[in-house]
Amino acid sequence: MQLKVENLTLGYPQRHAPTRLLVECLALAAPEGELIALLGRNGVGKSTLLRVLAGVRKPLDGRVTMGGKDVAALAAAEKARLIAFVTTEPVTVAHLRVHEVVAMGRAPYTGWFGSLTEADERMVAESLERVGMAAFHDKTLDSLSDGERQRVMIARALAQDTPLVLLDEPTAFLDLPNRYQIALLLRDLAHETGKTILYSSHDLSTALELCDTLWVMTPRGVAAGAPEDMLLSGMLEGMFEGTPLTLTPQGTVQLKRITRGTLRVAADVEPAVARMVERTATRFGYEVVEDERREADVLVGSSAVARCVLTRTDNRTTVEVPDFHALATLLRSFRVR
Amino acid sequence: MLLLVAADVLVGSTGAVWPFGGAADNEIVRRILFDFRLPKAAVALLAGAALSAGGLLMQTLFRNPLAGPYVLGVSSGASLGVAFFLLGFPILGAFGVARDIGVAAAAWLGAAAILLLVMAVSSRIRDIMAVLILGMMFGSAATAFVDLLQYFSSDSALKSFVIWSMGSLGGLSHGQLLILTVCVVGGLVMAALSVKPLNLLLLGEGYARSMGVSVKRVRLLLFLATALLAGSVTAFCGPIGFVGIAVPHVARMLFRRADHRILLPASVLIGANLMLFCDMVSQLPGTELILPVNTITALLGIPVVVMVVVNSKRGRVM
Repeated sequence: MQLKVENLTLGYPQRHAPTRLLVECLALAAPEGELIALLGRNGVGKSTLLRVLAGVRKPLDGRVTMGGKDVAALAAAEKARLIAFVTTEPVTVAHLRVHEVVAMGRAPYTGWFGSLTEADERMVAESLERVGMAAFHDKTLDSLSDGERQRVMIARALAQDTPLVLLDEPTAFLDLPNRYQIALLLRDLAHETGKTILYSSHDLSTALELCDTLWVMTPRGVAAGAPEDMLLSGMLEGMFEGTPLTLTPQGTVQLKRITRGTLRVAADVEPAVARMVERTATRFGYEVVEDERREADVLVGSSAVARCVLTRTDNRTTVEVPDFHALATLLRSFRVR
Repeated sequence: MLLLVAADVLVGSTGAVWPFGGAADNEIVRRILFDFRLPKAAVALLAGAALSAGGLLMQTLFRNPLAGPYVLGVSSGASLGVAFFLLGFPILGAFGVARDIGVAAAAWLGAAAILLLVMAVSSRIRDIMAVLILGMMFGSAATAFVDLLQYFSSDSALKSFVIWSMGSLGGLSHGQLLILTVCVVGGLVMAALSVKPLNLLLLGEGYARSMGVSVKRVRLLLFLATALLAGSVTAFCGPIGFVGIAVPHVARMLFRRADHRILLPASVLIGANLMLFCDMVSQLPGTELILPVNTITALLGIPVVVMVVVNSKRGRVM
């Protein structure tokens, strides 16, 4: 079952001002069984898009279809069997048990009292197993860490047994290993269960490494493609427009350089030290020159007593540098140009 | 549990004020027992159950552990409704059953009006303490209106209102008891029918909606149930404080669960028992004095509320 977006316009009607448009005329299709990351800057409308896709918010114009059916026109119960949504709402309810939360995912399938059948129970247990939280079955939600709680919320979405799972910033507030693990879990789920999993994130490196498709959202629209296509086409750069950041071809983010001058490391400097010198120099806006014939503003040579020796070419002053903190301080103080 | 309730009915209704002497088949004993004590025990049961269930619904609906019919001004709203009815239209209040139904309807309208106000405010303001303070303000405003109405009304109307406002669990006619029973049972059935959406609402409205809950419809149902429960109790017993807010927390502490399929019956039972107990204590067994039941519920309820506030400041909400 495929998620399709046709001619979608997002925005906020405002009381005393014209409607604030976020994006207009979006057309997208989410490939089945893939992990998709929705990237974009704060306020660009990622959450709004997800809420519209989940059918909990109406778009200004256009429509979202799931397997050909208009999501906005579906009855609440039917929608709940097609789309699961992990929101950013913090869940802090005392005494609420892990298995109770996951069992809530079965709500679209149970009666008025919410009693679980054997099949429902099995689904709950399997979902917990899949996210690696089976041992936490009877723990209360408020005793879990942020990462564990996020896993429980994902298990709840799995128990809902939907072909589409949407997650709004599931890795916010998580540390780096946790962010990777959650994204890895989502990718495995998408590949093994055939679900389409779409999550919004600010974590570019994880998304580039683990996702099948990226949706990059800017005020001009959403560009979709494999991470490599997005890197090659320069689509990702759009996210950093008007900021002092640039994207390297490898997909890492770098501060744009303010060129302060040039620096050369002499050949006799130990390679490990030379690499660190270059790093420091780059950080303070020096261009590292390797060509021996080119004139550099600062020369760094080896030293018997200190880590290295720094020489300014304009006035030939030479300073012994004991560590990189001192090197940084010197490089910063130079007004070479 | 049922045994406990039955025991409480007996204890409550025979209490130490009435020495169960040798003359058991005495006409006076029978009359006091059946015309006065038993209805009073029934009212205590109903009021305790209704206020506790109402409190639980409000706490989940507002996602606010400090919500309750009394603290959010719903009881005051009901008082205002009754005041309008008894003081504003004293002629209407002349006839028996019509008067009873009129008082109840006025209380529902008053309760519903304040509930609507609080709901409107709480959808804009997320801070639970701010909502609480505003609820108290609405309650105070309603009380102030009641004072104004009293000032401008005739002596006879004033008398009937003052008698109502001092109201306690006792003194209900069989007709009034019937209306109260129907209202409370109706409200409880509505609450029982919403246990599943109530559970889903624990995760927040977005989650509830994503799992197929039609939030608007559930809100309306819970809103009606709360107004019915809190309004009718206030209509016939006067404002009773701190049962609605405290009992759901007692249920949570006792059962250590958040599931409404457990919390709702637990609150109803604990509330009913607590009210019977309060009623017993208020009669000060062994003396001729009778305290207002409100005093006892406040003394028992306030420590629980204080505990919840202290806990919620440490981040454990509900």
